[in-house]
Amino acid sequence: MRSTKIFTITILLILCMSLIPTASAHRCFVEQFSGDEIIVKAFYEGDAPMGLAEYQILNADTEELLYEGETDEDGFLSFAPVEGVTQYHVVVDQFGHKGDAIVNATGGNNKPVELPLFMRIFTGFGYLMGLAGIAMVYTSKKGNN
Amino acid sequence: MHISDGVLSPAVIAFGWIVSIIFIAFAFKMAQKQGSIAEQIPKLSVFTAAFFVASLIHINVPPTSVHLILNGLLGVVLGALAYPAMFIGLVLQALLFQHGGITTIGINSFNVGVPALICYAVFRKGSGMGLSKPAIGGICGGLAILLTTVFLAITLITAGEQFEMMAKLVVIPHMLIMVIETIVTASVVAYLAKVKPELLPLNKEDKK
Repeated sequence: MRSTKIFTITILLILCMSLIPTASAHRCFVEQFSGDEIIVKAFYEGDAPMGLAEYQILNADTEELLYEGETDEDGFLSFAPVEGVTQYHVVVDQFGHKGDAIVNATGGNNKPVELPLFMRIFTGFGYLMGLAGIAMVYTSKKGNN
Repeated sequence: MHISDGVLSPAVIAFGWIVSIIFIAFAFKMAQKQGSIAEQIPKLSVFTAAFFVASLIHINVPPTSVHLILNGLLGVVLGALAYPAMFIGLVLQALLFQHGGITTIGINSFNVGVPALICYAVFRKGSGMGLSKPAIGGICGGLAILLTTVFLAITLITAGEQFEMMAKLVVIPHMLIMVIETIVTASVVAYLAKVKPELLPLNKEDKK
């Protein structure tokens, strides 16, 4: 009886851990840090660095390749600004996980606006419940026929 | 485990989709033979939801980051239906979290789905031989991660990645996930075997 309770608590803990809203996604981000020499950090959600990842710096307007190389262990890369280029397309790839961003030569990057993480989690649960509902209706109708 | 768009060759992407469609059709056919799919839907939904959020739990292993997958657990609990469950989970992860690409959903499903099916076969065989269910479940949890990392490494090597880099950035960091998923899968299987053994996809003879 006692061991059943312990198991129940363990399962509940695992489920709670899964639903922690501050949990971090395994998604890649690229963000500009500072000015003259352009320094960029590549990281996963939750600030885990994309260390030793391959990167490419492209002219955002023409997609011409300007630089390529490997980030350092902390996920940083840097490059000298190229005359006449105002926006850079930075692409970082670590074992198939790809992150990219448009970085301005004057500082800052263009981030798309999106739903908060917990909203996206609940949206996913909503889709799953909808799919389960459709499947149940379909199978029960099939059973009746 | 979430390969992005634009990394793999069209041949590998096509292979992933073709094999995934075949496996999904096979999974539903097999599930139908074993009993009513309607009865499986609540269990299928709960474990798909667990898989969907599992990739949000990540651990920093410098210079990279790894996350839970739970494909071994899904294989052990859902049997053949683990493959379509993870396919749905990967579609939602790609659309809502931008984890992985859209074109690569097929090969990403293959990389996590086939180890889950192998673990289902191992779990059935082990249970049939009278081995402890939590022990064999735990082994399956770890084995699924090992196989997934090997499949992922092979997939990326086809895209021109170096073997050494794959070992350093993919296989070694996932050792930690192997240990965690061994414990998680063993705990869940132990719980289910004790409280609701009919949830485990075993024949009546295997359950004895």
